[in-house]
Parts: sequence; C-alpha cells; structure tokens
Amino acid sequence: MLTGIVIALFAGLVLFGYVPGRKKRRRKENIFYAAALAVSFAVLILYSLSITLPSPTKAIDGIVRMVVPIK
Amino acid sequence: MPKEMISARQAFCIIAIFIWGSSVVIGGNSEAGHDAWITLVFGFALAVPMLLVYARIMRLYPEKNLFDIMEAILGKAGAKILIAFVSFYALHLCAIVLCNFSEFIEVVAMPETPQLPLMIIMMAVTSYLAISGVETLGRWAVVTMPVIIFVVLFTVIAALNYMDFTNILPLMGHDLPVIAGGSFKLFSFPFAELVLFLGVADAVKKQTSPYKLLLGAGAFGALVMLIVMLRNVELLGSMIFVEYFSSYIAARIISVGDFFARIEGSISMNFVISGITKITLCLFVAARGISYLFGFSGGRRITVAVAALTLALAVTLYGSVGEMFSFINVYPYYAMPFEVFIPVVIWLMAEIKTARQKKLAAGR
Repeated sequence: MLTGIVIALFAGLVLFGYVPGRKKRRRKENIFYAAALAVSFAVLILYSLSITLPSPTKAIDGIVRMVVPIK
Repeated sequence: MPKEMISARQAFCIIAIFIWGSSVVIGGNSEAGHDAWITLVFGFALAVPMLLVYARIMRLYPEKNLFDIMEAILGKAGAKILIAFVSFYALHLCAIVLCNFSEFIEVVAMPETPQLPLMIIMMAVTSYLAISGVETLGRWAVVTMPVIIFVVLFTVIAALNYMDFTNILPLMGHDLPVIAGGSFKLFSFPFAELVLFLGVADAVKKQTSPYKLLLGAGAFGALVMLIVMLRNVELLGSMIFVEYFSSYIAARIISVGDFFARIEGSISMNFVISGITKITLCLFVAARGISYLFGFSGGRRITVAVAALTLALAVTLYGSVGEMFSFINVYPYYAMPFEVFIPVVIWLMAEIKTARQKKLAAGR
C-alpha cells in the first residue's frame, strides 16, 4: 500500500512537475531536479518496504555527544 | 519578475507564527516541570542578543537576503560553504517540523495511519505555498494569526474552571542548572531559529525597522507561548513533564457546559496552521539556498524537488516519538553553529566591510 502511494506520488511529480517545467528550467536545474527526485524515490521506496535506513539524527547525536557531555 | 515585498505586518505575522511552529502543541515539555514558563522567559531573554544581531545584519544590508549578504561579504566562491550549511539547516529543520506534525497526528488521532501519507499531504500544501512566493505566505500569515490567537485565548478562558493556580508554586522550585538547561533549549528552539527569516529578508521593505520587527514579533510570539505554557502548567501541574504533547493533553481536560467538548481539536488546528507556516518558510529558504549554491535562476523552480528531499529526510529522522523528544536535548548544541556562530561571523564581517566602505567614501 505504502509502496503504491510512493510510486503514485513520484509518477505524479514526474508527469506534472518535472516534465512540464523541463523546457523552462535550465539544464543544471533539470539535473538537480531529476537527481533529487531519484534520491527521494529510492529512500521512500526502501522506507515503504520497511527497510531500516540509517538515521542522520543518530549521526548528529553521536557527534554532538562526543563534543558536549549531555545527560 | 518584479521583486516580491511584504509589509511590516505580514513580516510580523510570519515571524510570530514561525516562533509558535511546533512549540504551540509540544508546549512546555521540559524537565523544569511547573517552572517551564520561567525557562521560556529566560530563553527569550537569552535570544534577544541574537535577534539584535539578526536585525543589525538586516539594517546593514537592507532588502537583501542572507545568501546575497554572504556573497557580498565573502564573494560568490567563498560564500558557498556557508550557504551549503544554512541550506542544509533549513532543510533539516523543515524535516524536523514535518516529523513533529506527523508524530503528533499519529499519537493523538490516527495511531494506525502510516505517517507517510500525512507527510505527503503536508508537503503538498507547503510546496504550493512556497512556490506561490513570500507575498502569499505573508497574506496567509496575516489571515491565520487571529485564528491561532483566538484558539489560544478561547482555551484559556474555557479552562479557567479547571485551572489550579497553585500549580506554578513553588516558584523556581527546580535547581538552577535545570532551569538554565530548559532556557537554553527554548533559546535554540524556537527563538534562534529566526535566523532563517534572514533568508527572506530581501522581501522586507527597507523602511521597516528590523529591530522593531524582530524584537516586537519575537516578544509577541514569546508572550503567546507564555500564555500557552501557563495554561498547560495550571491544568496539568507536574504532569506537564510526563506528557509529550502537553497543549493537546491540557485541552482534553476542558469542556464548556454539556454541549462543547473535544476542544483539543482546535489545538490540532493551531498546529496545522503554524506548522504549515514554519515548514513553508524553511522550505522556501532551503530551495533558495540550494539555488544560490548551484547558481540556479531561483528557488521556485526546484521547490518541489527540495520538498521531495525533505520528505525523504523526514522518514529517516526518528524511529519513534520518544527519539523525537530525546533529540530536543541534543538540538541546541547541533543548531549552535547555524543560529549563533555563522550569523555572528557574518555580522562582524559586515560591520568591518561597512566601516571600510564608509572610510573610503569619506576619504574621497
């Protein structure tokens, strides 16, 4: 179900967001747009398949606790 | 495209609602318990010097946003690192508030609904608002501010019968380190997050006093938060420390006669409204920062892509609501470089550059 929602969402983003605006955007912007959608799609598909992803919060938590003694 | 400008009133409303953000519902979840309202007063007092720094930056470079100012001071190449940091911070904060929102809805209303659809709906709305521009955001803020205030005041008045005014006693009942810790958290979340408002400072007319704007809106935002916290303390007492969403739990106690109950729904509405404003501003600034970083023509064209990145970041942030609240202990230290160090460095360099320019101009 969640996987279906993610696929539908990104299909919509590509069809109604990326493709129509492609000619108005510059080449760099299109590359960024496509890369951002690709990365987000990959992460959200993995999330929808209940695959545990590394959390940036834990990394930030670890780094901060190395520097600052927090209870 | 003509440059978008917002009036002082619109900027005031954006800032005040940004401050309320998720704090209106998370309320005074602090180890300071019934002294949470004191930590808010101290937290705002701590934030005043930083608000003055932000205002001074706006005064030195009127009608310029933070990224323009960084480029003016450090040059296009030199500013890239700072722009990358600020953009990441805006993106991360956007994801954090989005998580706050989805966790809240899941915990209080829809425990069996997955968070992802809730996040998607929220991001769809905020993306649309961000693409519409800062003028639209300003109009949105002006219209929704009275709604938020009305709900807060209504819940306070309706709760008067249920309040135990002795709950705030004893004053300063907690140790100073506990109160100081709570104040530091509130300084960082939400007051010093106003650094992100500098990302849209170019929309503020130069006739508007940035000092009056930031300090006035900051004080007003703090005042409303104080009212919310005092309401929660009077209703919940020491339980304010135990409950995750103290405002929502406090509102559940209230009923008006036999015909008006479930007032907590209005708290959810407040959260949605203020959450939309905060997420939109963060999204707008993140998209703008990324466009400066990569030399794009503007943030609007990549807003949807940045929103997708925010969504991807948000689902990976926390494993549970407990983790989300536990991160509040770490957040002030993590946010320090973005909220304090970078703005102070920018301010000092701006002062030096302006002084040199004045000297050169006087020398001619």
